[in-house]
Order: sequence, then C-alpha cells, then structure tokens
Amino acid sequence: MFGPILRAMSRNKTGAVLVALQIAIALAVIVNAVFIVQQRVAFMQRDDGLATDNIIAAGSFGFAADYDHHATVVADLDMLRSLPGVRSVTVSDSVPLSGSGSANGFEPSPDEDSNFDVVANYYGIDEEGIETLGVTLKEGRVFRAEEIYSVTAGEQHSPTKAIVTERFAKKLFPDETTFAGRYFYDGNDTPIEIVGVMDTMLGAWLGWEEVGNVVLFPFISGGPMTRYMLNVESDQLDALIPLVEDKLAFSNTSRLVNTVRSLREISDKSYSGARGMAVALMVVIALLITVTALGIVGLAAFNVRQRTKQIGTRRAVGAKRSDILRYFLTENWLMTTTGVILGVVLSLLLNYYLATEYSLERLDPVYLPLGVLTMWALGLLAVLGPARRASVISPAVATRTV
Amino acid sequence: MLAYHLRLAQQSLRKSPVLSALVVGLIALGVGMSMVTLTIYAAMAGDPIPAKSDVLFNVQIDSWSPDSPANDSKPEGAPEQLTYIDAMALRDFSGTKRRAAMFKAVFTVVPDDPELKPFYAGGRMTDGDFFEMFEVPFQYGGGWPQRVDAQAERVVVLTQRINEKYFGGENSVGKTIQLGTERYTIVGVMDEWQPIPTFYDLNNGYFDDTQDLFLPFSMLQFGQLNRAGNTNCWGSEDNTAWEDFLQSNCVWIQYWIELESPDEVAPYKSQLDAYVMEQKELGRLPRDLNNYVMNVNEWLAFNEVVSEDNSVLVGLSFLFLAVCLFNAVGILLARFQGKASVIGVRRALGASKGAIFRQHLVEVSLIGVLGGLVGLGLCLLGLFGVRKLMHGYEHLVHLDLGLVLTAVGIAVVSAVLAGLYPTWRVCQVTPASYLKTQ
Repeated sequence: MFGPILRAMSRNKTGAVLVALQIAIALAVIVNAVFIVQQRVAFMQRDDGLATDNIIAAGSFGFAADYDHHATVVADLDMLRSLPGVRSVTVSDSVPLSGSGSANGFEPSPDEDSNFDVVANYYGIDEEGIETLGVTLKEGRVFRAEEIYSVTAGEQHSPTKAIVTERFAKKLFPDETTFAGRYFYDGNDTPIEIVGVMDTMLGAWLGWEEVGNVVLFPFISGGPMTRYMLNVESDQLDALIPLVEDKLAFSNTSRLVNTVRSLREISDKSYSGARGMAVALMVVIALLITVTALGIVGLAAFNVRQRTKQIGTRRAVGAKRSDILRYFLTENWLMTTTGVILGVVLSLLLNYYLATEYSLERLDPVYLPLGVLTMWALGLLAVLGPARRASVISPAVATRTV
Repeated sequence: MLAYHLRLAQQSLRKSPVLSALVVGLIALGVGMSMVTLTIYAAMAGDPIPAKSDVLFNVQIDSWSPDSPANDSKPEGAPEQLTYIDAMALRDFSGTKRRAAMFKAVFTVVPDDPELKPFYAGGRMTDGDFFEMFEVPFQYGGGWPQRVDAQAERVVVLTQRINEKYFGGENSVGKTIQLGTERYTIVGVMDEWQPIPTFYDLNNGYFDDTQDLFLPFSMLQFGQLNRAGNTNCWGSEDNTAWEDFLQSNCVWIQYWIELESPDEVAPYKSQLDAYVMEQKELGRLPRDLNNYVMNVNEWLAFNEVVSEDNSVLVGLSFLFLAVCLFNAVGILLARFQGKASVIGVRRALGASKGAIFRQHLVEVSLIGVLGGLVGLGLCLLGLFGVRKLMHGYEHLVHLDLGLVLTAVGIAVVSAVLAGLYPTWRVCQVTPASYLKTQ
C-alpha cells in the first residue's frame, strides 16, 4: 500500500525531505536539550539540608576606631533574639550557598607525612547554630553554650569540637559507619572531636563537587566582619528583613550593615546560572516543537490543496473518507519516520560532540525512545487537521474543472 | 530596476500576507534566538583590551606544595596568584615597561554628612602603573606618582560611580574622603571603565562591576587591611598573625606586567626562572620549575572565561535557526509554485530567466530584512529576559550597532539561502505549459 504514497511523495520530494530534515534536527536538539535540562533541574533541586525558606542572613562590618567586635556580637545576638517572629539566631563567619566562604583540608590522623586530606567548607557558629540552620543531626548532639569560644583576630586558635556532614565523615573514615566521638585533625596536633553528624548540608560553592563536605566549629570569629543568620517564622520573613537592617544599623553606628537578605534569595542567585540554562533550553525546545509542527501542518495543507482534484477523483471512484484519512496519515508517518531515524543518528552524534568537546555527560539512552515517541505523536497531531479536511473533500470536485 | 523589483516584491508579499508573515516570523525567531546567544558569547569571548592584549602578561610562579598541584583539575598549571614574598621580589625585575601587583580589600566610606549612612565599598590595592597599563580613562586627575609605590601615602582614585554618589559628580581631585578611620586624598576620578571580562582579576566572577576605589598596594606598609578575594594556602604553617601571613606560602596577589613587545617574554621568563632557582636554594618553592607568563588572551583561555553552557547554547540556537530556515524554504517553495502561472505569463511576454531570478531574489531579501528587524526585536526581548534571569550578566547583554548589523545580516543571508532553491525552481517554469490552461 506504500507504493502510491511513495510515488505521490516523489512528486513533491523537496517538501517531504525538508520536513524530514526539520524533524531530524529538532529531535537531535530536543533529546539533548531535555537531557541537559533534566540534569540542571536535578542539580537545583538537590537537598541543601538547610531551612532555606526560614533563614535571613545579615552582614556587619565594624570600621570605626571605637568598634568593639565581641561586645557588638553579644549585643546584636541579644537584640536579634528578642525580635518577635525570630525563632533562633546564630553568628557565623560566612553564609552557606552564597558563593563566598572558607575551606580547609582535614586529616584522619595527626601524621605529618600523610598526604591524605579531605577538603571541606568550615563555619564558626554558636550554640543556636544547628537549630538556626535547620540541619538534622543523624548522630550526636548540638554545641553547648559553654563550648562556644571567641577568637581574637590575628591570633591562632585550635577548635577541639566539630559537627560535620556525614558525607565528610565518610570520606575521612571510609571504613566506618558511625562517627560521633571520633577525632580528626586540621594539620596541627590538636585532635578535633566529632560531637555531631549532620545528615546533609551544602557549603559555599554550589558548583564545587565537594560542596557537601561541611565542618561546623563552635567559635565566634574575630571580626571586624561578621554575619548573622536568623531562623524566623516564614510568614514574617519579608517584614523582618527591613526591620533587622534598621535595628542593626541604629543600635551601633561604629559598623555598617550590609545585605540583609533571605537565604532563599542568596541560593536563587547562586543557582541562577543553572536556572538560566534550563530556561533557555526550555524556550528552545518549545519553539522547536512549534516550528516543526508548523512545518508538518504547512506541507500537509499544501499537499491537500494541490491534490484536491486527485482526492475528489479517488472519492468518486469509490475511496471512503477513512481511506483518504489513512492515506495522509500514512504519508506523514513515512516522512516522520525517515526524519526520526535520521534524528536518532544526529542525536547520538550531537551528544558525542557535546560530551567530548564540553564536560556534558553521555546521553541516558532512555531519552531516545522518548524523543522518537514524541516526534511520532507530534507528526500525527500536526497532520490530523489537514488530513481531516482532505477526507471531507466532495467527490463532485472531480467533475468541476478538467 | 531595483525599484521595480521592490514594488513587485511588495505586491507579492501583500498578495499572500499569511504565508509572508509566516516566513518573516520564522526567520525572525531563528535570528532572534541565535542573536541572543551570540551576543552573550561575543561579549564573553571578546578581547577586553585589544590594543594591548599581546603585551600585557599575567605572571605565575608554581609556589605550591611538593605533594599536590595547586588545582587538581589543571595539574599542569601553577597557582593563579602569587605569594607576598614573590610579588615583592618581582617588583624589582628589570625589562618591564610597567608592572602592577594587586589584590582586593574592602573599605567603609563614611560620609562627612552625619545624616548619611556609611556604606561598603570594594577597593583594589595596586601600583600606580595600573592605570596606564590597562588604559583606564580619567574624568579628573590621574593615578598616583611612583614615589607612592615606594613610600605609602593615603591617596585614592575614585570610580565615576563613587564620585557621583559622594561628591555629586564634581571634580573632587584634591579633596579628602573618610575611609574607615582614616582620611584619604583623592588624586583622580575615573571615567566609565568596565573591561569585559575583568581580566586583571578573575578570582570572584568574570563579569562583575569593577571595584569602587583604587588605592596604593604600598599601603600594606601601614599594616593589615581587610582583604577580600581569594586566598589559598597549603601545608600546616601558622599564618594567623599578619606578619606571619605576609611571609607565608599563601597566594593572594595578582601580578601583571607590560612589555615593550611580545618578543621580550623570553628574557623575562628566564629572569623569572632564575629567580625561582635562587629561591629553591634558600629552601622555598619545592615544586619543579613551572612558571607562566601569559598574555591576556592566553590567560582568559586558561581560566575558561567563556562558559561552556553558553557555547552549547550558541550551537543549539544555530541548529534551531536551521530548522526555521528549512521550514521557510518549504513555505517559499509552495508560495512561488502558486505563482507559476503569473511567471509563465511574464516569461511569455519576454522577461528573461535572469530577470525572474533577480526579482525573486529581491523578494526574499526583502523578507530577510523584515525578518532581521523583527528578529532584532525578539533578540532585545530575549536579552531583557536574560538580564532578569541571570545574575552577573548585566554587562554582557548590551545591544550595539555591530549586533544590529549582524542580526540583519544573518537574516538576509538566511533568507537568501532559504530562497535560492525556490527561486531557482521558479525560473524553471516553461511558459507554454501555463499559457495553455488559461
């Protein structure tokens, strides 16, 4: 039954070839783009372990000659903790997810010669730190108030207690399953005891592969720059941001307050690259689908118009409406399938290029059949309208002009 | 003749407005999309200082740990910044036209008016050569004299931005400004200066605003500053105290030189290698000799300033343009075939194949120009979206004349390419076959 269809198609080869090419390129781009979008979405949706929607972060920077860092921190914490709607507050030397922070290498033994170290972001927090960050502890406990110590700027200090992420602990002690009570080292001889193990927490640089390695220490750093994180009732977060800024600014004029923001905003900013790529690709995908469908509809409509007389004749000599419908659907299916076969080859080539030239991953094969099915469905939907119109052409048309 | 062709083209476009609009729309979509990605790519991949990019060099010394490279993902590379010891030593090298060490620090601008809140300002500590080296334009005054690089003074160059905010844009040279606890004398006010990327320091973002204040590197003589930017150290030495930090293996200083010509790299490099060998004898710099003197474009390539995502998007958007064009070819074919009888008549009345070809070429070019203009509008819309969506792209999404011309150019070329085959087909019309049935 393909015989007559193929002969008809060969009359308007160019049109069919053009649409098949469109389908092929569209399939290649869509399959790869969907794959990348899916990876970016997974990247953005990974669990940061934090109460991101409840946290406000504020920065304070002492500049005046009479600025007293530790007195300021104590006063600020008292003031912030007394604000209505604020559940808990911690001081911290930097804000997670912000793209700015510190990292250090840590070792499972004090042995100087060992080359083995695990790099992690580290933060100094106080006794309300765990509660404020909203991280869950798998093992152990939070810091006690008496464990928190203040660091003087420019003076060496060695923490002796730490709360770490499970990921970090597993890297440090690959053969162990529990970690509370174990000791590790930061390059000098003072052992650091793991008092708590966090389920998950992400550190400073979201694109960094070790961003899940986080170590929290019980210290308040020496300033003059410091940050506060507030865990607040989510319905009061928007109102609290300007209030916190004002309260900090007017309570002490020997420092300036900078960027009071929600952690969600900070996180969104850090993820903007991944989100931008995903959105851009989704726009490309949507437009490609539209344009390709348009091409199929256009060609089919053109064919129907060109063959009006032919269709009328066929109807006049006994073809049923369903025969005409089936004819156009089959013709389109042949064209779509040619495009799809070519498209699968192009998809693989494009992905091979992207994977070798750029650091993109190899295509998950499941995307190919999904793409093929989508294209078939798209072709069918696009041709349905013109094919229906063809099927209702009256046999009388054949008799009008000769 | 062109006017006649244009009139015919216009008539023809009017006769089938839906199909014409469709072709224009397709070309506009394809061009708009690829221009958005191309604009950002061109901005990222551009040469930030074309006149001098081959005589400006970033200097790197491999001062890292004997056990591991500074950057595991580029194990052959050296740390991108220098230690204080090495930066100070390099300042004594001969054979350079200009040289500048630099790092970032933060300051608090304290307005004299007590009603105004103090504000936070990013500063760049650097040498006086910085300004001429990087062709920084000045609105008022200029950089500080060389004696300041040797003997520190509290002087500052303001950006236009800060001068606007603090002095209302007037000539503030000679006035003083309170930064933290000290007063600084203003020696210059920059004009608008925003290299893209900010190649001289790629540590924290490539396309961010320049710093607000520029101050002498030599101010380190006055003691500790509130450093910003990246600091990387290795080993377990204690560098908490400021004096220990300056003598430590921590890298935190960017170092640039200007040479008379690219040929002078080799002598400079051997001077550098000799210095490192000398330091090895003193027990420093345990790694194998691995120094780099990279010109601006080598440096940008080494840092992979153009994001991969953007390159991928450029490629995919041009594939999208191809789909749009194939689609347009199909529509043009259908349109021109519909006109076969008209062409048959024109041919019979004596129009040559060439004339028919030219006329249709004019028609597709007109479609191209229209598509380009609409595409430009879509591109602006897209760039606006990018600005909203992406953080740190503010400096990358500016439309300029080059972009306008490129957009229209791509559109016309695309339209002509898309129209060539249909146009050729239309010329093959044999007049006789169309005259018969009329």
